[in-house]
Amino acid sequence: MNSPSKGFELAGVSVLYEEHPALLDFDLRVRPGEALAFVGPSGAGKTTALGLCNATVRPTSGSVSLDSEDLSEAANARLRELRARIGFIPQELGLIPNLRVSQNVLAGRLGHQGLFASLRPLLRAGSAELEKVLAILDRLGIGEKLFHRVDSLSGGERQRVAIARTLYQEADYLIADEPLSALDPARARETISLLTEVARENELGLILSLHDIELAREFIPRLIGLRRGRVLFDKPAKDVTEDELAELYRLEDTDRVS
Amino acid sequence: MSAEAFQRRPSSFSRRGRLLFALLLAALLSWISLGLSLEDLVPREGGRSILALFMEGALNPAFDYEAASVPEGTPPLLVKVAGAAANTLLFAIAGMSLSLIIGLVLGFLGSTSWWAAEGAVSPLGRGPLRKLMPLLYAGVRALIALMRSVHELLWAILFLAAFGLNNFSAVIAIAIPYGGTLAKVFSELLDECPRESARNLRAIGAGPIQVFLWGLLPRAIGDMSAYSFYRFECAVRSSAILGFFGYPTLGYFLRLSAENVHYREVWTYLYALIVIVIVLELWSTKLRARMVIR
Amino acid sequence: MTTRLETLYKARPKNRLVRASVYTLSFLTLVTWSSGTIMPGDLFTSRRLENLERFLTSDIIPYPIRESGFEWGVLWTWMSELFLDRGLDAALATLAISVLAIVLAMLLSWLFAPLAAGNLATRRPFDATPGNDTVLWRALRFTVRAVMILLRSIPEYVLAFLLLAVLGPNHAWPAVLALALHNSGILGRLGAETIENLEPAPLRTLTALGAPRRSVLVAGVFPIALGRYLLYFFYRFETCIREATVLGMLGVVSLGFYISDARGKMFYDEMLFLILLGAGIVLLSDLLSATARRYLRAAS
Repeated sequence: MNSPSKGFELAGVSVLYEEHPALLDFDLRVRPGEALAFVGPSGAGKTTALGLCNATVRPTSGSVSLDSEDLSEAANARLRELRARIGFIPQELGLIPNLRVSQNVLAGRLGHQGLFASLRPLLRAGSAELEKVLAILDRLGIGEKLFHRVDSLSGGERQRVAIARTLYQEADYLIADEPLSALDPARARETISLLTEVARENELGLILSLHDIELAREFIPRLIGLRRGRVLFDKPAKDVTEDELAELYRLEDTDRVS
Repeated sequence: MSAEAFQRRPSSFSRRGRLLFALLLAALLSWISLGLSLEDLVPREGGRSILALFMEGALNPAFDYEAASVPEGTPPLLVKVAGAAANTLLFAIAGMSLSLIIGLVLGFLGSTSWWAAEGAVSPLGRGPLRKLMPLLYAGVRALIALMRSVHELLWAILFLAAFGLNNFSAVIAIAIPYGGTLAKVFSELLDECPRESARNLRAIGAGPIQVFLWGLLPRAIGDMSAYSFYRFECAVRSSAILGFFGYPTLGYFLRLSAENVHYREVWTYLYALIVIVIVLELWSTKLRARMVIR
Repeated sequence: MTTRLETLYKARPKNRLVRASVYTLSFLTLVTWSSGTIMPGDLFTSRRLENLERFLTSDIIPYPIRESGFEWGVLWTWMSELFLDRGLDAALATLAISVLAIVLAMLLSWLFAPLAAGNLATRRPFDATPGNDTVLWRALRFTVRAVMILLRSIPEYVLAFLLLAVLGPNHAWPAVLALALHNSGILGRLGAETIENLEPAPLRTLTALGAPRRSVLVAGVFPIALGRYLLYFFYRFETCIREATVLGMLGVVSLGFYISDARGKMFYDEMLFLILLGAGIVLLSDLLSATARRYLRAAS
């Protein structure tokens, strides 16, 4: 499992958006089952780094590979297969509000299915599939909501639906973009402990972007500090010093302008 | 009200004010160019008696034929009214069901969301033909515009000339312009609906058609059904009018009764139409309240 | 299915109205297509196909071309003669009828809308406290709403047909009035909805300051609601032009008059030309009202 070729490998990656650098000369290794978080001020390149990992952002230069397979060279069909192995929860969760919880969770396996195979769960799911979904929801404590519409759920319940979708997807990695933003402190703590727990139980690699540095230090073993598209540090959370954090969030005139 | 008076108001109002002023001016010019006079609004002798009959009929619609004698074997008036009302609904439903199919297909082809996006699907394949996509898109938009810019009654007389009187041609006369209108509105709804679920599905490996069916269509379908229901209401009115051209809907009998100066019968047919439209409107208002997506 | 799934499925939140509507409409559609009244096959009997062939290969070919043995050069002369002889005048008349009608409808709807709006037509406007609504106000709102629904449920074409009998065919009033009345019912409802959706706080302040209803309406409601109302207005304007074209078929001088004239004489080439001219006007008005809407949106 820990053979050198497994996991993500980003080597010398730069991403430019219309000449504007989002990420510069970025190197990263993520082993299967590892948990890490990108931290740093907004605009530091965290979201871009996540996008590289789930193959929705293409590097301008450098290479991104998963289990030694270059993502930027994959053909469309292959890219879909690779993406199907990577769970992704965007900041706004990306659920379909006017479908039921069951349908939203079943959508997790779209990447594994052909077009016609995926029509059935949308219209009328089989009971074997539903049992599976129900088991996952039960583990997350929202089994009773299986047939409720997502827009009738509370914010916390929706977050669990998004997590359930990734579990049903049977992905190898779970990538979440700012999963704690817009949550009150108690809910934020609850959510991140749920995420790390779920990842550990299911042996998922966990890649997050966070701006709450305290929670990140408490729950995530490895932190990568990003600032203006560059890596400031990449080390175990317990080794991150106060000086490094001060440097990470230091205000500059140019920061304020942008 | 003069233009200067409007211009003294704050600026956002002045834009609306200018538009309003232009409209009033255009209306005045129209009045003059049509040569209308207020005197003509007062009915002449003959018109007055018709108006009196008409008003009387409103309060006292016919439940039986006004004519002293009707030919042997004529069904009772109310049966005839019910039949005409049923036919009006039949033509409207048939027209709507066809136009929904047209609207869904052309609305899908006419929206930019499925082919302009990254990694999107293309019915022309992934080869060099794909470059023709904007051309296909423009063609579909032009077709939609042509279909809906010709009124359903004009489609009806075109089909009358081409095929002769035939119920199915009345149905397609409704289906074509309504299909065009639905296509236009559907494509706009699809293009305007929020993208984040679609983007997310793509990120976890869903194909473009899957993204459309799971991520876009469900989000737009509430508004699409609400609008379709409203168009159904309009289709009932159109279907009633098609009777003026010989189809067995309410308009046909209404016209016959009016030409025989049987205004109480006219009102019976009118009330039938009004009741249908009001029931549909109440129904659709209730439905729309339930289907608001938030 | 296990019992747990079944229980959850049975207990799922359902929307009875939506469900019942879907079933009813599907059933009606099924009945329609199996009733035998509408048979797609009827269109393709040999007699109808012959008719279609004659229509396509001869009837709609402009007659100078038919006469000259398909000399397409004369097409332009034929079209421009037709256009100058009747097309242009009829097109302008159509435009004038619809502009006048829609503006009249707008004025009428300004009368209806405030009287039908639930938050304005009460004892104290924009006041949500109970006891504000009295029987009299409720009756007024109901009456105005009933009048509007009556007006919009009668199609323009039928209204024009009836008005023609009363007012006579020598002027455009029947068409103008029919369009104005029908559209006032629609615009009135949209206007009332616009007023009901207004942010009540600033308007309540006005009334709290003791402003009379009249000035709340003129200084508060009207300017705030106007922007949204005009957006609706231009949507209706498009449809109004479409309808104005057709009303001519009853005998008022608009494009429809010449269309039905050509139809009566079986000059199908001329009929097609005029129909296409009408389509052109509709497309032009689409463009016009889209521009107006963009102009308005830029203002807000």
